[in-house]
Amino acid sequence: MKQRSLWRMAVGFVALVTVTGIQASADHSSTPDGPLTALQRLSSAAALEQARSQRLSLNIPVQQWQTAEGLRVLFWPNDQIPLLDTRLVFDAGAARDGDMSGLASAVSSLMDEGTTRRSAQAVAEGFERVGAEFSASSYRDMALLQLRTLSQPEYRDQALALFAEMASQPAFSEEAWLRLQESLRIGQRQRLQSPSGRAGLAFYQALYGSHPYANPLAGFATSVQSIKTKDIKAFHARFYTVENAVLVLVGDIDRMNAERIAREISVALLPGAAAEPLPLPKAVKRSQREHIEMPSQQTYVLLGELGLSRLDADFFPLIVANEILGGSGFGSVLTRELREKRGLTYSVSSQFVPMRVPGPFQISFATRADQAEAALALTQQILRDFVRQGPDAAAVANAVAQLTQAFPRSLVRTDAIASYLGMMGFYQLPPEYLSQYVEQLSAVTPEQVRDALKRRIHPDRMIVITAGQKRPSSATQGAR
Amino acid sequence: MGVAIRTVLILPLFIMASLASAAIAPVSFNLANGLRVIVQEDHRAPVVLTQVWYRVGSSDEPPGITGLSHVLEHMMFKGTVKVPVGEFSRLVAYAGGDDNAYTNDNFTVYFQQHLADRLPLALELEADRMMGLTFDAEEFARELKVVMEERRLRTDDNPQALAMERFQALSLLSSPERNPTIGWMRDLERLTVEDARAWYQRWYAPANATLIVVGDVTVAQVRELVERYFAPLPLVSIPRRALIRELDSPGERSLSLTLPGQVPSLYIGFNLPSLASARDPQDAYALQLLSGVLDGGISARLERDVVRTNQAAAIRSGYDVLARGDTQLIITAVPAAGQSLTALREAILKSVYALRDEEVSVDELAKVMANVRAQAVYGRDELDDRAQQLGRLDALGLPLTWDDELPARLKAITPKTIREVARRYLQPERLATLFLYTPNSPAPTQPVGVTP
Repeated sequence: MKQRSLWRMAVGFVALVTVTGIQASADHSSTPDGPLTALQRLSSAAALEQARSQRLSLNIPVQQWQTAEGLRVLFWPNDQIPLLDTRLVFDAGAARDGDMSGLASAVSSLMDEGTTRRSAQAVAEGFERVGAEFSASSYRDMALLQLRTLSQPEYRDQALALFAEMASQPAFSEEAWLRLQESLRIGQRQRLQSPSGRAGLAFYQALYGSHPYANPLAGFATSVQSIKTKDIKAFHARFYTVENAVLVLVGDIDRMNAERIAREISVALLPGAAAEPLPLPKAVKRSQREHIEMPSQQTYVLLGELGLSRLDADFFPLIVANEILGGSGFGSVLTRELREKRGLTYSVSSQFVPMRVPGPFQISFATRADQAEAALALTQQILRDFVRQGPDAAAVANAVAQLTQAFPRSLVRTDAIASYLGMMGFYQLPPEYLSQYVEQLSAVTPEQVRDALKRRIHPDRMIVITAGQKRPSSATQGAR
Repeated sequence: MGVAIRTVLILPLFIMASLASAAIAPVSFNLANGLRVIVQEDHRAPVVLTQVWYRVGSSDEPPGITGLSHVLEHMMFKGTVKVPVGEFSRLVAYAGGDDNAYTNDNFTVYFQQHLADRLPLALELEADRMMGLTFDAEEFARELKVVMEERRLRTDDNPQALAMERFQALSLLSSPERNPTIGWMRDLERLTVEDARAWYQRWYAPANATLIVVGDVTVAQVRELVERYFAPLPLVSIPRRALIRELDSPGERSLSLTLPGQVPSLYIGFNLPSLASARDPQDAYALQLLSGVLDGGISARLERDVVRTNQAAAIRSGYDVLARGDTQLIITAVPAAGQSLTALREAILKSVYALRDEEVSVDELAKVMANVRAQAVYGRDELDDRAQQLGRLDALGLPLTWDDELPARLKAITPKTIREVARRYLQPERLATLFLYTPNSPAPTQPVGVTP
């Protein structure tokens, strides 16, 4: 017992429970699809109810500081496994492409292609000799450099020195860019051959119009063709800078070493300035429908509108609403209606993608071509009813309980914790964010959920994209 | 139960530095009814993961009912007397957990993840559906439609996946792994609820299952709960499963396919033994190193010889030393601009066959070994991966500490041994090739060359 207690502290993950019940009024065992009758027959039900009636609270001591050079650092020591996850998160995603769509991806794809001092082969060998793993990736908001190393200093420090060199002095050779250009084009073509890829491209373009989020991460064939290594170097010099970065360290090191590593990386990084704020996207004014014809067996259906920004005041109520409508797990309204009751699809989900400025809210599924129109109409009706009626108190209490109870599961893996810290640093959430997450969720009321849904979700003002075989002339057949 | 998450501790932080971070060894035991149980304590967070492995998969399916193991996996969420249709996943969600399952050639695996004090529920649910499914005909019909949608989504509308399905059927001549796990559509169309029930009765029982529990639990606690929920299930005898075997020299094969995609691709496979089927285990270990030398990282040979020389835009390869029997080294590649699939094939085979002529360097082996050692550590980070690896090792009758012993075993393999296995196994009579063409990059009118 004692031994285990120490283990827990070592992680700095103190989970404690106070015996205040979750909102006691609702009948929790009655979910939106009727009561859970099994609870009367399972012998573990009593223990479950007991466990469930207690509120989980977490104390996750994230440490945060800034180096003399201005690099923000988030650190979580964890000596349970002798490894260290390091990431640099830059405000250098596709939103910074400007008029050269695909530029951020180009930069990111070239980060492991050697430095001004070492060839790509030498860099790769340098990491592989010490068992380290490096990767670079970019999204709409962020560009990430990631390193996983063993924590023994002889392996760790060698890999980190190489990591700092790669972040600050990439080679960006003509030869590598010509080769990677072709990879980006293949990636673009691969996306174009799948209905979901085609629909996703069209959706972002329709939703964001002239906003920087509109363009696909990997750009277009023509735009990638026009990118030169001088553009790539200029983008790197502008955005891969110390003031435009967050450093995350999670794993088996102490504070002193973390500070030393942070200092060394921040000295190596180029000086510069934080990126400009992004413009706000414009809300969808009227419903819009687009069909992309493809010779696929299934039609992919994607509908949505603008959703949440990371710091949105409606963040928690809408996360709860989404969990009920089409969130994780098999218990959502959409999964029940489309998959469980009618066998229309293998998978249907709704999601908010929170970003710097509002990211999308979207519902998506794939179904056999001949039933796509009916399934779409059914989905729109479900959404209309959901927004109009709003979930009841029991459904909200269930979703809150589900999300809070699920939360500790997302904080096991070192790299998952590193992702959270990167996100917190990037969007400037407070260091207490993780510790307060459960409380914030638990404070959400059914009224807040219904109110946020009515204000933010507009079933009759959405972008609707379908990708699949030619649409039938009349969509009359019913799915119900 | 629940001791863990209710423990509140205020201790000074400096104590931690003195604590060793050695991994806790996994523990295994059996019940009288044949259920095998493996427990891996991991106290980093107050969570637990359970996996139930049934030793049945698509390689057990006779012709005409391919896909049945996977359809049955779907039915396992569709009701027992205690937990009626629609309640299983809702119950798991109600407990804040997450559940899912997957099927492959050889196993059907069900998993749940929870806060650690929900373990009784997780185990009671697994014990309940181990022998208690009710099989409603209407539910079966609906679920079969879902599975067909799954097939369309994952395979039929995905040229690369469809090509891979054909490749398996080409490269495996006699192995029962040649059929797709999701099943041929013509077989799905004729499956019945009676097929599913019979399959369930044949394979689902404690004696054909392994329960794996990983997380913030103790062995004693798991043992008590397992006894409570699983011990009442009867001991039932299970059909014998034969070792997966392929012909030693099936002969060189190739297939050309044109699908409505946009990216041409190449699939190359060599039929090889795994640790389970190799006459000499050293062969399998040498093949594992050989595969690492070929594609163990971006400084490895295929990347160096084929990608960085502008012949392929992307290349991947894999060899599973822990397969349940004879397996393959599979290499998939996308040609660089202007490169034909046949030229790409020549380039890849040149790089592969070089291993027959020259000894790999000490430096190359050192990199592969560094990766093996690092993966043994990184593999402990994810509970899922950990449980997965324990399940695979146990299924092969290997010690659960195999990963820790692997570096020592591999150290005994010399560059000479690797060249020797390359000479023996990397031969045209073990080689299969699939050329995937697209409407924009059609197959050449000349017959495709098949010289090695």
